[in-house]
Amino acid sequence: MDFLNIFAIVIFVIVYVFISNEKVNKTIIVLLGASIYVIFGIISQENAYAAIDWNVIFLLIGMMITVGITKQTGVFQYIAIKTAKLARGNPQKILILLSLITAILSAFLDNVTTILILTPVTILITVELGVSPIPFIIAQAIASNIGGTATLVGDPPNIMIGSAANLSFNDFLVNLLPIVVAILFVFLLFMYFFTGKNMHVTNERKARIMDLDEDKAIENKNLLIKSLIVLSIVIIGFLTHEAMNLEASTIALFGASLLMLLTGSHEIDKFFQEVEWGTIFFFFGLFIMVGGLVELGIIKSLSILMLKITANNVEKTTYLILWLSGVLSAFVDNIPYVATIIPLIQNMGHHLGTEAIRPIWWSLSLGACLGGNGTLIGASANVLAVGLARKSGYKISFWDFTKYGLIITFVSLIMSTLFLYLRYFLH
Amino acid sequence: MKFASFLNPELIILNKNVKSKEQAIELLVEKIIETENINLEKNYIIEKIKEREKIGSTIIGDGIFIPHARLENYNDLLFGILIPEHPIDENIKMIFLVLISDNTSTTYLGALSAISQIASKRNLIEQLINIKEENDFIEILHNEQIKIKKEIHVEDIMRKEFTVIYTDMTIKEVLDIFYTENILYAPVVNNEKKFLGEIHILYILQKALPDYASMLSNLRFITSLEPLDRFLKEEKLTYVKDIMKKPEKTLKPTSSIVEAALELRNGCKDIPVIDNNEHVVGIINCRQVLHKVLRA
Repeated sequence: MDFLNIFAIVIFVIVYVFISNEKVNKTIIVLLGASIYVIFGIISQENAYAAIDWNVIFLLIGMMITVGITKQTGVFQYIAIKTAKLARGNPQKILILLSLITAILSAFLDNVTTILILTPVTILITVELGVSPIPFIIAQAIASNIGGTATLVGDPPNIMIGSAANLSFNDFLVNLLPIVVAILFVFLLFMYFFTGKNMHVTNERKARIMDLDEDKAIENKNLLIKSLIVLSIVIIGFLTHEAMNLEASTIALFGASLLMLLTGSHEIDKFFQEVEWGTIFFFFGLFIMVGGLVELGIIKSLSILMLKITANNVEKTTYLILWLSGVLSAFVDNIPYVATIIPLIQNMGHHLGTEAIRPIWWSLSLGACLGGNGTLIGASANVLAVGLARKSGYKISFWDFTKYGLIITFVSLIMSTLFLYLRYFLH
Repeated sequence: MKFASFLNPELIILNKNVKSKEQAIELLVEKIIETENINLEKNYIIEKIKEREKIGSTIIGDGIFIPHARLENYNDLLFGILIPEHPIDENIKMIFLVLISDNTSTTYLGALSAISQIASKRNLIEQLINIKEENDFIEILHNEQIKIKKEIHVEDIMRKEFTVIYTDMTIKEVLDIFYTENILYAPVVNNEKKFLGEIHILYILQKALPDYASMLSNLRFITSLEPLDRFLKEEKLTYVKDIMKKPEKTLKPTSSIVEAALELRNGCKDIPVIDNNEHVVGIINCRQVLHKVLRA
């Protein structure tokens, strides 16, 4: 192994370590790493920019703008309040229903945005009811990671996998929705039985919830109608994008532009404030660095090594990737992990056949997305939810979260293993 | 807070063939115990109701019966409603059975007042008696806006006396008015008194500072700015309509105090209160919150 390879690996590991311990902002670190890669010739300048997966970037930007505009209408608050009223102020029912709604929204919006939108109104509802918001917040964070696994757009790992492996929105639905629904069901059952104890609520408190006026939560009816129209168009677009021979990112870009036009505002800066540029640039740097490892052949070597371990057996590789991804994602940010593994699996595809390795893509998606529930630090949604809770005065410790998360993740991975076996390997 | 928010459709019994007050009470207490999670004995509750009945009649208005029980170790407020198929004892048309804790809460008093309001409205009672299903009872009361607690609205605390500025006034006139009235802010209206915008001393200052100056992050290097000098000489030539701005936020007289607090928390500014005819009917700022809410 020559000097350049060792240097590249060392820089990569250093960047990974910094991403994990969060001492320095991860975007800055990864951009620095990317620049070092180009400066030292680990990857050439043209190849660096070519390594960026623009599908992923524009899908993210498109959805960030669309959701950013939609959330100004107050529609998510409306949904949360309406849900609480439908449950007549019963805290257990509210926990189940709000978790379900979080999961469904997360399938279409990214998990972090869903948590950002729903956590404050959830805390408000629970405080009015006089119960602790903590189980609700933990449940919603976990539900968002589960829900996000079901669709192409639900979680960044899926966006990356879909783009690299040429998998459509419908491919994800058909292959992953069944197991996600099953896991969600088991999770909600678990929450129902484990949180029933301390949630007695007086009629007076329930009355406070019934007194909420969800209609007043809608800030801009006009904008709401426009947003819902555009969202419907976008969803139909996602369902049919493969047939139309378009990437999901094109659909997202179209939706965002249309909504910006309909909003009628001339202040374009306001729209673009909704984009998390830090995240976008993090992706830029990450793609370049992973591109560098690919260029040097390091990824190829790793993939050959992995195939040796599993003796070129697709089934064994599937389970290996599932559990490896699941365990690692609980501790490591799943986006850089998935970015690194994708070319590895693509390489396997060259040896074993691109159709044959399909199950491995699904196991990567399941492992990377569900593994995020394993610990407090496993997913950004978890960290954000706990952060918002702390700002409102509710402390959730690492272990408070992880004790639920570990069990859920373990059960999810077991269920996923069974699912993969039954679906792809049982003949 | 609306009275309707307290009601549970599962605790509304319709069109039961009930012959006596005692039978009605027993039915309601049974329903309550079965539906809600109350660990109290049926007989205990009925005893307490009887105790209260001994003190005096609980029938009000035109046949509204309000049997209620003050209960130990019970920290809640619950309503059971029964509408008999035929009036009981020839005049009872509607029964509100109330369970309360043994220390009277203000909410309970508010609830009693709400029931009295219902009792005083003949048409409302007719509507309620003739409903087809339980949820209608709640919906009718919800639409009738029968309230338990008087909510504080902006119109209860806003300042109703204030000076307005007209669009055709000059800045000189505005500054004179501000000086003599000792104010820094005023709403701007047209001749029909319709609200058009607002003017604050800051906006006048900002006009004196042109865009290019405000694009610089600091002006430490200059002590006299030409546009400001010129402006001070030309007060008579500038009009309100050139300086006034549309407010960032307005409130309605019926806006709640919670909404007002949310707007004010971003910096205690003056917020105009506009009614449905676009007239400005009041101004609210943090001072009013202090005087009328925090230290009422």
